[in-house]
Amino acid sequence: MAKKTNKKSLLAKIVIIAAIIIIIPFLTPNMYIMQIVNMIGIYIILGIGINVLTGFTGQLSLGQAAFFGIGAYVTAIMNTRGGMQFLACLIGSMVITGIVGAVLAVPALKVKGSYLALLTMGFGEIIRIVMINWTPVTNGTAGILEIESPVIFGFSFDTLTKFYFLIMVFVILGILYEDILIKTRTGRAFVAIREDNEAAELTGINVTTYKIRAFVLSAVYSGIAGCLYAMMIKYVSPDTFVNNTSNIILWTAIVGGFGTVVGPIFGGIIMQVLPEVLRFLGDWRLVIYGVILLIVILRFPGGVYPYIEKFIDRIRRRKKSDAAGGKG
Amino acid sequence: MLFQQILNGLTNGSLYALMAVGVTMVYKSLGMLNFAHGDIMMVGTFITLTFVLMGYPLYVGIALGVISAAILGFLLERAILRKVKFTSFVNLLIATVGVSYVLRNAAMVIWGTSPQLFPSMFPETLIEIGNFRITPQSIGVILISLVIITGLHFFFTKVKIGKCMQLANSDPEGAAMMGVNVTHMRFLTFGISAALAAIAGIMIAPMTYARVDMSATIGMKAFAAAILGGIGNLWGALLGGIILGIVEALGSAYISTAYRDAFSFIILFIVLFVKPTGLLNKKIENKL
Repeated sequence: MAKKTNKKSLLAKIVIIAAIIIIIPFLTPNMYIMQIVNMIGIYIILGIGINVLTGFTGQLSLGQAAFFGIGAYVTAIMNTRGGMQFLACLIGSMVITGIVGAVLAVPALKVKGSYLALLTMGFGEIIRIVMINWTPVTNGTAGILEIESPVIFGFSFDTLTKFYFLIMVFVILGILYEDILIKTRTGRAFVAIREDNEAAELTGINVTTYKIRAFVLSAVYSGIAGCLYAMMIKYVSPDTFVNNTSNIILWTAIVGGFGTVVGPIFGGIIMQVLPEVLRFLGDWRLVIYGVILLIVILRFPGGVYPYIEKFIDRIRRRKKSDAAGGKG
Repeated sequence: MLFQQILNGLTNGSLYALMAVGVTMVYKSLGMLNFAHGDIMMVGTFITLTFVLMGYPLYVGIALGVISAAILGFLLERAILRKVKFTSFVNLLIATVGVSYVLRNAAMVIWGTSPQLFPSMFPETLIEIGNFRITPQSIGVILISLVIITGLHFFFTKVKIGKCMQLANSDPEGAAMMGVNVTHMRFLTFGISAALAAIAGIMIAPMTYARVDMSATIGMKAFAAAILGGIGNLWGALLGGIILGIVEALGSAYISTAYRDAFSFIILFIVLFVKPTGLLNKKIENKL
């Protein structure tokens, strides 16, 4: 009986989510807002990536923009110079960011806490400096122009609305994979490492390989986001992949709910919508944006999602007790 | 040429050392890096510049800039870090990153993003010794940094308040039992650290122009210097800063100018990989 209702509510959830996803493009009045919606999708993928690394495994990263940038640049170079299509670029971005993630994991295994934060931040800076100075490959500060729209089996995703559905496919796959991963042995090992490194090691978890796995996974997520970003904006430059972007990616995971599966969705929406809402403040909007985020971090240390969950739970319980009271 | 580069390295290095000392002090009291350190430096520098442009003499501007940076340090400790719930270390660190974001963007709005000329407090005439030309600026910067760091050393080992600060940082509970006000000491640590950063910024700005983005690069170099020398160690910060400065100067002269800023981060990677405790620290600190 309980199983049946579970199945039913799952089905209902799927239908509601599918309906929301399909309706969104019809509700957006213009392409500018469509682009913001797409950016939300990209930031959700980035948020999931850092959530795996920092939220679940507890390895703080302040250089996530580097992976995002590498993913975008690999796609841009493969597409404009090699003339390759979307799927090839996507695989290229995933493989190369994965390798870079594994390489960064080697020094990162030795340190933790603020040292790790600094190491990842330095990594981000090095990648940015390379992007600016390795002109023959990256075209320097000018960036790479004229990236083509993705084409899959002859179907071209040439408008932002079409692109939206492509991004949503990756967002859903990304969330499902994260959800499944967390329930497996790997996911439990990640959480064990976050809670207590030494204890995890004592119980026989190979901390080294799991940490490397978390780094690679997080890098690959960012690589996918980078590939989608490059194909959507059609232009990449080092200005996008700066320290500020790393901070925003980290906040996307934190503001939503650190170490929760759906946290990055809330984070992605809040982080992308807030600056647009604050546009009336003019130049000061980024300052106010930072202040608001700071307040959120101080007021809701675990992100907003756990509080939303608690709030919904309280309403539900009140309804239940009301119903019970009515019967009595 | 070589001599000139080493002198340049020493000049920059002693400034990194001055920043690194502040990083080290805060690390000791908080157990983590203050990622807003570079931004406090930048704000202090720009406040000085603002007063100078308003027509006040340079020394008044410097004093006001340093004082306002110290106030900013106090505020950071009192209004933000003390309010963070200690559920996890990550929150504390992210709070400093958040402060850094706010300060940097506010500075961009107030002072703009273009580099601005900054008056030097040293005379322009070159000192010539044989074939070598030395700017009074480098001599002045190196001397001032050395004097400040030595002074701090005596402050921490000989003066009562300094000793109390050391004690409050290394053993807060013990210090509290001895009647030391740990909260006040931490407060003071942040103030001194911020003031040192502002002094460094005021001496860096005449060489590199005052610019908002100096907070990120120089702040990171200060962290690198502090870790290279061994965090929590005053002389380590000095050694780390000078090594970093010289490597950077030689690297940009003989290897590549474009990758100048990358050298310090590569050194940071190597140090964290080979000896994360730094050159002068022996004990492994298991702080998170």
